[in-house]
Amino acid sequence: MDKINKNDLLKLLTSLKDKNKLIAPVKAEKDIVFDYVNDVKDIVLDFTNTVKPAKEFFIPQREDILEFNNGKIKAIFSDEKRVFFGIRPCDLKGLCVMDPTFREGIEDPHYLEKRKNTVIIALACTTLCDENAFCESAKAGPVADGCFDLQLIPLGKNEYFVENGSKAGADIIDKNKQLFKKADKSDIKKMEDTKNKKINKKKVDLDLFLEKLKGRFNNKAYWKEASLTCLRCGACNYLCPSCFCNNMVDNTKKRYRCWDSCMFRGFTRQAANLIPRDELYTRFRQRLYHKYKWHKERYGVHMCTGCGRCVTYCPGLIPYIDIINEVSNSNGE
Amino acid sequence: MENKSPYLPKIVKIKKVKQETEDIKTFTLDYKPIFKPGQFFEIGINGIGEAPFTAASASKKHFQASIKRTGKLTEAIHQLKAGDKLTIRGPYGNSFPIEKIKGKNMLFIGGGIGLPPLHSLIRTVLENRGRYGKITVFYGARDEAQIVSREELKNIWPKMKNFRVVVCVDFKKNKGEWPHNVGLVTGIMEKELKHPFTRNKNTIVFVCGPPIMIKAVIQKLLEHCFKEENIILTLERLMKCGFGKCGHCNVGEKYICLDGPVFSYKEIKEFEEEF
Ligand SMILES: Cc1cc2nc3c(=O)[nH]c(=O)nc-3n(C[C@H](O)[C@H](O)[C@H](O)COP(=O)(O)OP(=O)(O)OC[C@H]3O[C@@H](n4cnc5c(N)ncnc54)[C@H](O)[C@@H]3O)c2cc1C
Ligand code: SF4
Ligand code: SF4
Ligand code: FES
Repeated sequence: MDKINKNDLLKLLTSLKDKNKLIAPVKAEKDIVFDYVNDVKDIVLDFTNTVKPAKEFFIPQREDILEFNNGKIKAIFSDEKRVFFGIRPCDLKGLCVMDPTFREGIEDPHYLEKRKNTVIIALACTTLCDENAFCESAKAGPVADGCFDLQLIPLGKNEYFVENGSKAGADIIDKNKQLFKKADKSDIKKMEDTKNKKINKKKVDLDLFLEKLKGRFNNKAYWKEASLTCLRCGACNYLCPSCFCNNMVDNTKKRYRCWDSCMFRGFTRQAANLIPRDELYTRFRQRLYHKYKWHKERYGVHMCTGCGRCVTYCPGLIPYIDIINEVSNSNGE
Repeated sequence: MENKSPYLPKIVKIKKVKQETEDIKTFTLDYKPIFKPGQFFEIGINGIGEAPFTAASASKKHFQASIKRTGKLTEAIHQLKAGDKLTIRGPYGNSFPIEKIKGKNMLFIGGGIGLPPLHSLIRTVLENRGRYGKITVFYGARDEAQIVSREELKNIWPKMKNFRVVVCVDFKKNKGEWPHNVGLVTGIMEKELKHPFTRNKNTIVFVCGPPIMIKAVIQKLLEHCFKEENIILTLERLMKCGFGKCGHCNVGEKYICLDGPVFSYKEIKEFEEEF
């Protein structure tokens, strides 16, 4: 078992940057964001979580899929090899949660190639990132239990325990042996303490919620009341690390894919202007059922990793966590 | 790599365009895909977009779809003539339960543009006529000018053995040449479901048409004791990808594009409000 200190970590990232593009957390005005990095000195190592989730590097907010040229059509792919450093466990699980969607039946290489070509070095959390985080209840964090190539778990201020999760991860350790040190007993104890430490302030029971959602679908009055202050802005979808719904749009030269939101009125707009989910409460209900019930029933995972962003950034002050708990504690009608 | 994208459509030539009604045209393409009746394809024009359309032809024959002009893309498709090009990708979705209906009687209920999607099934059944029971078609259109598949409804099907056709129009504008009923499809159902040729609770019913019609038809069928699992619907939903990636067609734990568009009423009745 290995550990690495901050200086050596930067050296490691510098050497990985030789053959790969490097994505890492950097400062952008007041915020921390993920971006392509040229100089590892720009990387921010002490941050809680980014406002925008990591998904945009796998399913970008806007991505060209096809190119039209004189009646011919070409698909657009990037075969860029990348190393993604600093992804937090909730965003990491967000990717694992949407993977089965892009794999089922006809695969979607526009997403899956990016997944395949990206080595992920995750960064576990030791401090609370957000008052509304419930990653412990969502079984996503504060330390990831899979999906990464390497995971760094902080051991105090200057060092990280290195957990290996794949062959690609093992190769990195192998090829850069001089930068890693053996973790001793006290390091392992610290790492285990971090794994066992509870840091969330919010708690939910997603399995109970799913159970209680069963009888709630047709309780129109409840959904109307719950969605009363929603502004239909879609922030809760755009900022969610596991929402993947997307739209296809043409301009004269290209067909591109972009994020969509089930909260938008046009999301189900059919021919002749028929809108099955015309009323806001039906769209609000869709978001919750798709995330917490149907995706889980279909793929075995909840489409929520407990990052708390949908509560923290909702301009309509929708208390999603309270809704989950209220329904979970109800008689299920 | 470039050829690997499932979003990459084929570019195909239009062989023939047939004006069915004022706003419906049937396009025959120079393309013979293999598919099962009930499956759909994404048809498009570069720079404008794509939309799902059900195949009206039979598998391995020149592909046909009847397309109603209702908006941006269908407007543009309607401008095209024989020799022009379209893009197409598919087939997608499940199909009609061909195996389940062997030896059974069938009732097809179509409204407006909802008949062509049933065509590919009717055509498949007719290719192996001996394997299936009696066929009844109820078809309703707004007025006489809106009737699709006129040739089949008037001259071909009614002359076939064990085949009964009832056509109705909501409004009768003039004294048309059609021997037909006036009123909604549900109106004729009341009477026609009792007809000895059609009356049989084990008949498999296929319904395709606008949502309001589908709802009313289901109601009537249930009143006449048809079984929920024997009422087969093809559902419409906004679909962007056609193969389970864009999330638009999600209803319940189903994706209409992957698990549908063909469902029995029993499978979807929990989410009736969603349609
Ligand atoms: C499985 C299936 C089979 C079908 N089979 C047939 C068939 O055989 N024949 C037939 O005629 N029709 C069929 N349809 C319906 C057909 O797909 C629609 O008529 C077609 O999509 C209309 O496209 P349009 O661009 O002309 O219409 P428009 O009304 O112009 O646009 C519809 C599309 O534009 C986009 N759009 C426009 N405005 C907005 C907005 N505000 N927000 C979001 N999106 C917007 C949406 O993507 C929408 O789907 C079928 C549909 C399905 C699902
Ligand atoms: S972020 Fe809040 S206001 Fe915006 S769509 Fe979501 S619930 Fe509604
Ligand atoms: S639903 Fe909310 S808490 Fe759950 S992952 Fe999405 S943004 Fe985070
Ligand atoms: S059409 Fe995209 S998921 Fe069904």
